[in-house]
Amino acid sequence: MTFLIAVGSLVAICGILAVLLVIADRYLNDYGICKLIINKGAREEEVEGGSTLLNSLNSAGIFIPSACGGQGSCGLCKLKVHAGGPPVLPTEEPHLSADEVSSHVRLCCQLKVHEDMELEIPEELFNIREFNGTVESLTDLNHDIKRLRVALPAGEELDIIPGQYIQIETPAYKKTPEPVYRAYSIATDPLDKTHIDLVIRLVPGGICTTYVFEHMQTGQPIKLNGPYGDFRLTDTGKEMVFIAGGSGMAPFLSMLAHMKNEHSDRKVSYFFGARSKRDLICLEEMAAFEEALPNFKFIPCLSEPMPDDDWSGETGLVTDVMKRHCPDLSNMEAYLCGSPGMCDASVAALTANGMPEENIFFDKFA
Amino acid sequence: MKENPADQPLRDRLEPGHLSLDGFLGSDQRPLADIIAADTGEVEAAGLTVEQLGAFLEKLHEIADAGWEGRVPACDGKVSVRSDETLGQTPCPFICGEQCHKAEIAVKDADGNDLLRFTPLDAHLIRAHGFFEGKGSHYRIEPKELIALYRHCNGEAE
Amino acid sequence: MMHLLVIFLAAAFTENILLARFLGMCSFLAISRQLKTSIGLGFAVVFVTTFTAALNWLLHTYVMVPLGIEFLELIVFIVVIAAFVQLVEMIIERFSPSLYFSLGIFLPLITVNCAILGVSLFMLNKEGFRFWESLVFGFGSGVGWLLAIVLMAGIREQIKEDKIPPGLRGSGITLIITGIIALAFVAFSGMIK
Repeated sequence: MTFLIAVGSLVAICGILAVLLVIADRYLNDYGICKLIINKGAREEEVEGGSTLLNSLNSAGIFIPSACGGQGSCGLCKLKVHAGGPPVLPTEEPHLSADEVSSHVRLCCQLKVHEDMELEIPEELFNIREFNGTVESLTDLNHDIKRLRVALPAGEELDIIPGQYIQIETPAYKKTPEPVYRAYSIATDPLDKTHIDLVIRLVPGGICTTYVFEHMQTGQPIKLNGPYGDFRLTDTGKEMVFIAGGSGMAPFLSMLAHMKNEHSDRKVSYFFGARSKRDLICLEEMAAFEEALPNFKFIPCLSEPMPDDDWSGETGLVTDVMKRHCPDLSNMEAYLCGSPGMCDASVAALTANGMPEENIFFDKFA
Repeated sequence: MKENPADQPLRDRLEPGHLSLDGFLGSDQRPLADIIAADTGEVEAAGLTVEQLGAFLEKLHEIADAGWEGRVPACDGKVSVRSDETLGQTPCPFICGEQCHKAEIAVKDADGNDLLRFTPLDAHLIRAHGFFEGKGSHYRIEPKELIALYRHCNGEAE
Repeated sequence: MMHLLVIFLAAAFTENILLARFLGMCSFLAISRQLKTSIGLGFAVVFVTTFTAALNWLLHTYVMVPLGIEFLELIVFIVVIAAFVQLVEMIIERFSPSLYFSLGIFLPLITVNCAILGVSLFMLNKEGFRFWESLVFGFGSGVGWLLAIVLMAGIREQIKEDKIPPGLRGSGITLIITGIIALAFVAFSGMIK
């Protein structure tokens, strides 16, 4: 008898406590509808409180760049919160400088929306959308670079400015527990508004590129968002120098297509750095651009040509070749697509030949 | 030593599939603190610091960058370096706020033999966190080898 | 009134749950690095000990004894403490997210903090404790724990820059300091007969 009473009362006590906790949870975690006032009232969104600012903005159709899916590791989702957020969280601190903190910059994937908030979001982020495209084709450009062509869903169009990039989502596969996002420059002709072309180089041990090279199939769906970035051509008409290698060609493919559409007669020299002949890509396309654009010159430079490459073109480091071709850079502009380390090395070479630093542009996300 | 449960998110980020396909721990089952302690202990026993070794790797990366994917001599010609760069940045898994560029730097000796392959993230992990990656990981650098390379390049006795 | 005051002083000083009974050491050692979080955790512990002592007394008197199931008290008290700490977690998360993050794993660890369970069990052993006495006893014990952790945090922040022998850094020196403070608190035992 005591046994039954014991069990019964234990169950009853646990049950009552559980009910109390559920009620408390419902009451304490219900934040109601919160208003997000953006850019001093230029836009207002009403969202359900309780989730992160990043997710709340996403649900309102505003996409903030994020590569880590809200874990707080990439530091890309910064925007200004002027009112309504909690004090700076320990998970945000490593990513924010003292200046950023005093101007109210926050990581919106860490903040939770608990009340009305006043936000400041850069205008260009309003143009960013998410697309559910389809893989139209995957072509080999050389031994470790592929061109991925994605078709946008029927009826949807994307206006791009040559030089911008998008993010593609790699779904969970093999050893990866959740999707990841990686950024790639757009190589598409801007007049083609229903497709996105990307140039992707295999990175050993890379999550996204391994997926693209080993698992991606034509016809499969693919999620992308964008466009991002402010790397673009100026309209000064000055003579230009393009420097890139490997998959860095993507934005220039888009820029050259744009120049062809505009029948531009702007002078351009593109110095393409590679190791040996097998690392070159898109040679026919470059030849076609040279035909269509009389003032465009494509100059591939091989740093380690193999003996049987039979190479008669330029050799050596691409910055040295460029210095030989363009001794006076004082009235020219340079467009660089590569990692910041490479860009910095080029800046030194370019300024040494007289180019003012403000005429040098690079792809900032690299 | 028991692993602090607060370190679990860090260990998760080092596992395969989060930042890189194969992760940073290889087949090493030891707690993270033990891996770091063993490797930094080896470095300190040799009379060097992890900051020196990490800074050395970062210097090699800088030299390689000037070559735009070409091979560049370094350390008075004792070695040559070349960098294969990929666009994009990877955040440090220890969430110290550092973003590292993605690249693979191949170091060869004067005869063209492979000495070492490393990434800018490796250099940062060594310099700032004393983390050489777990045994069995693809980009693990054995402290012994790095110390030997450092001494070779700086003209010290090995 | 005097009676309740004596119980409070005894619980906070002479029978300090941490310095006299040595319960609740693990979060004490870990969190006492920083004064701010120590104060936060200390208040959370006071809140939990007070209300769980009262609740557990009510359960003991009106449910467990009449039904003759005192043997279940250990389990029931733990369940009550766990539920209560969950509630405290939700409240802190709602009203102070930064405190919630700073406490991290140690907030749910209050559940298994033996000091809390100790308070409820000691209360049962006391002769003639009724509702208000139990509540004040719980409150006093919590305040005693808060006092100990705040004292320790203050001292640790003071000695942060000092040269401590490598073998003693961290837990070593903290335990030595705890022992010394405990000895000092023995002085209070003369206060209450």
